[in-house]
Amino acid sequence: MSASRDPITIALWAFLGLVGLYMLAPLIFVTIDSFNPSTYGTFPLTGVTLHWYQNVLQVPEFRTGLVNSLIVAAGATVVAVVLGTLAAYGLARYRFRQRELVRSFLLLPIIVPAIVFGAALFLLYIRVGLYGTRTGLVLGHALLGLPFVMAITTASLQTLGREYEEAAMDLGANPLVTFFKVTIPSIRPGLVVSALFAFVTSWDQVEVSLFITRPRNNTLPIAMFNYEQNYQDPTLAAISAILIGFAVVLVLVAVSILKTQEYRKLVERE
Amino acid sequence: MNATADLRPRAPRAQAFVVPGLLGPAVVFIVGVLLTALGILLVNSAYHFTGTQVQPRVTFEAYRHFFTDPFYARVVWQEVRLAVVTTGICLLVGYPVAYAITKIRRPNWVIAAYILIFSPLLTSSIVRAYGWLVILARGGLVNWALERAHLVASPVRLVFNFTGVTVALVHVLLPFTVFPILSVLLRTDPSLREAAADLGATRLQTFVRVTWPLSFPGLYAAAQLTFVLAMNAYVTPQLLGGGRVQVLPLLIFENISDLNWPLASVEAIALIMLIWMTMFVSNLLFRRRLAAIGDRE
Amino acid sequence: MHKRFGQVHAVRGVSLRIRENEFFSLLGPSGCGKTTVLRMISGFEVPTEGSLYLQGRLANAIPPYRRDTNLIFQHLALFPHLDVYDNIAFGLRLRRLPREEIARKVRAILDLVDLAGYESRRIHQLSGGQKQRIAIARALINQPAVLLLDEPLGALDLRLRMQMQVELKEIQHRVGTTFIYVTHDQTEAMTMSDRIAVMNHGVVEQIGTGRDVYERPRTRFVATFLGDSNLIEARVELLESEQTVLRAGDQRLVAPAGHAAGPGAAVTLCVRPERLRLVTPADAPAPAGYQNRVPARVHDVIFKGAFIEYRLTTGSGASMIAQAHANGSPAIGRDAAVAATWRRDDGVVLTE
Repeated sequence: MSASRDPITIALWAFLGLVGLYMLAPLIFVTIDSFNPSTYGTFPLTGVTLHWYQNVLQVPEFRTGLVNSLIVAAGATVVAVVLGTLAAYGLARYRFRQRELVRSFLLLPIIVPAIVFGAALFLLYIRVGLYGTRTGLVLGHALLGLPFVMAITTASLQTLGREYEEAAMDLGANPLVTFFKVTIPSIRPGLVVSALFAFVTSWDQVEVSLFITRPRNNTLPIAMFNYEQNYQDPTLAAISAILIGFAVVLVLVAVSILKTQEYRKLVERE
Repeated sequence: MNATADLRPRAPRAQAFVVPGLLGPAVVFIVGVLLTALGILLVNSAYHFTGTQVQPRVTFEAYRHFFTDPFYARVVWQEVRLAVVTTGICLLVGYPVAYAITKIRRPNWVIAAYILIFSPLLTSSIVRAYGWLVILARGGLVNWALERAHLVASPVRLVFNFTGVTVALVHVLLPFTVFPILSVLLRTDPSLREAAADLGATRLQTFVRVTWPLSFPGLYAAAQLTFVLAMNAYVTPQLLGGGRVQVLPLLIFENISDLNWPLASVEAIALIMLIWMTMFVSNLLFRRRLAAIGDRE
Repeated sequence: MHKRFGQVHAVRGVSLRIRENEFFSLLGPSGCGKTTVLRMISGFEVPTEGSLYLQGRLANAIPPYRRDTNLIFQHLALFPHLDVYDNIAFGLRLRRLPREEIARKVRAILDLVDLAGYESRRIHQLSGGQKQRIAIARALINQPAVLLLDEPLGALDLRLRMQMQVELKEIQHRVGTTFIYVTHDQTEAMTMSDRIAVMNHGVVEQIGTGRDVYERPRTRFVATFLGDSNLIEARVELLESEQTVLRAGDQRLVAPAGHAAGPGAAVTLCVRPERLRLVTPADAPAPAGYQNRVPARVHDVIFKGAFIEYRLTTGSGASMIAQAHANGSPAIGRDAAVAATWRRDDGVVLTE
């Protein structure tokens, strides 16, 4: 590894480290600020307090927001994964006229800017009575997750190839049995990743939710957004720190799964 | 042999309803929600706004207003400037970052680098915007440090202006810039670089003549993606712009709230057109170059 | 049968009658249509024209899951999410057999393929040869009328491949199922098959036992695809009842009768390298019965273990190959002037 010790590579790595610090800085300082006794979040800290964490529990918008966000994200994930997987299966396994056109059409939700989609959805929902409803949120968020699910699942299906499915049919499984007993179990990793994508897309959604939620019945990001615009005390830092904590746990879990898989691959190769 | 009649048509008929059955739900969903909503938006853009409510009367006055009032030209200009500056910084920072990651050999360090660059994606843009507020505010970390070092006498305005929005927006978008570049760099066959070295190219020559041209499609994809996301940004300019950085997404929400739906619709259409036209023109400009690289691979 | 994919004619009129309990091979280069024939038999492709009968029943459009055939896939397609037992039991469970019967059958079939005790292994824990045998077990347990094999040995190294060839043949003997085997490897086909169909460009060029197609090739393609051969362009000079007299340049050659070419027709005479006997010097007498004689120069001598290969250049500039047993007698040196000789019945007259 003497080649990697030259000054250019070291400079590159130093730069990478600096950028890494820049990426982590806001998350670190939000966490520090959550213990800040100063109402205006001024530095340096004059002490340490847990007051803002208690305050999080006292803000009712955060509580309803959390519940709403969890329900909406779960619903949106189910809708996006079911519709996206069916569509991906059709795209990956059947040949038909205009297949590329259909594929592009299904990617439309990511080509339309979220803010435009949000405004349009608002105009639609106030007409059909979905404004301010969880159903409306689920539908809107599911639509945003759909292209991700479809892209990831199509890729998994293409990597999987048809041989396993043909083997199942050859052994007597009809197409439906094949789909549930062979296709779905074989692409499970891809499905989990796409479900995670759909969930996170909904969980962090702001631009669309902004238009279609009712005041006092918001999702968590919207509740935070409103709070930040109105108050700006470290309560927001406290709830942010909690969410960062969740993200850290998520990363750790992902890394450990990744490492066992890497490990398994190594063992398999031996 | 009377089996022929009932067996033959089965396979094609199965296909005939299977494909619509699989793709139908997703297509209907997109048509029913997204296209219908966009259609209603399009219709609203033509309607008349009395100052307090929308009247379903086709006047196109919102278009006239949007295209004649110089205020909107300034907003569009500011938005494009923000997107271009952000994209430029993201590319300048993102390319070396992606390149540095490909040079790491130890798997654990690769994972660490991925976490550093991509984990902020797991936190909401609101959390990140708030983080920058903490760092850049009047009583925030940077100003405190500057004052301690006696570099400034009184707090500098770092936030609620163009600079603050740019710093935070680069932070939000950098992972999206790094990812396409990184995936192209990782896909490039390392033996191509070794072949160049073997043929007598120095490291700089190898980079300039092999690595850089082959990574151009990734760079291009990164630029497009970053630009589009910067044009669409709402949370960052709203929370860190302090009303001084006006962009179309902010106006769209503002006008919807003020019940001026025709104007909001026109602004939304303008935003889409602005983005799609940029894509179209840049694809025209770079088509030749991208096609050439595609052939070479 | 006939199969078209869009504009591409993958199979152009293939007519086969495969006997029960037979080990039948489809042999040909990649892209010759052999896999397409196999996929039509297994039901994954529907013939564009023609009829496919399985045990006397027209089966053109019966889907694969209702067909009494089982296929061993090229990459085996053992389900990675199931263990060995669940893989093998897959077909039986779909037929809703009682649990005990499934267990009994799986045990029996694992005995047959010599892998008893491997029930709970994961697929990725198996070696290449073990995977092969599990794939065979998974197919055979359904007692198919026909077992189809799509080059399943391709991924194995040479030694294991040869071992598996013998094993496959043995398994086929024991269970007595009809095997249809697709391969591009002529030794593989000859080692295992009762009969071989040689395919090229979507057409069957010849059907016969391994010995038949090797020793009596009917076309130039068959002669060159199976082993090495010396092809000599010639013209029919005289047809006699027992033999054909040919002329190749200024050479007069005799070959057996029993072909369709008339006097004056352009034909190809095929002689296998191991049938050639070299004599040196070039004008030395040939062994008795070796009536054909072509003077040549030794261009290269290659020692191949069991035999020695001589690369020759004839007087007219054509190349020939001769093989001699490496039985300890001294090899003929490079650049030696020799004559390649062979008996009348060592040659085959090819008209296609």
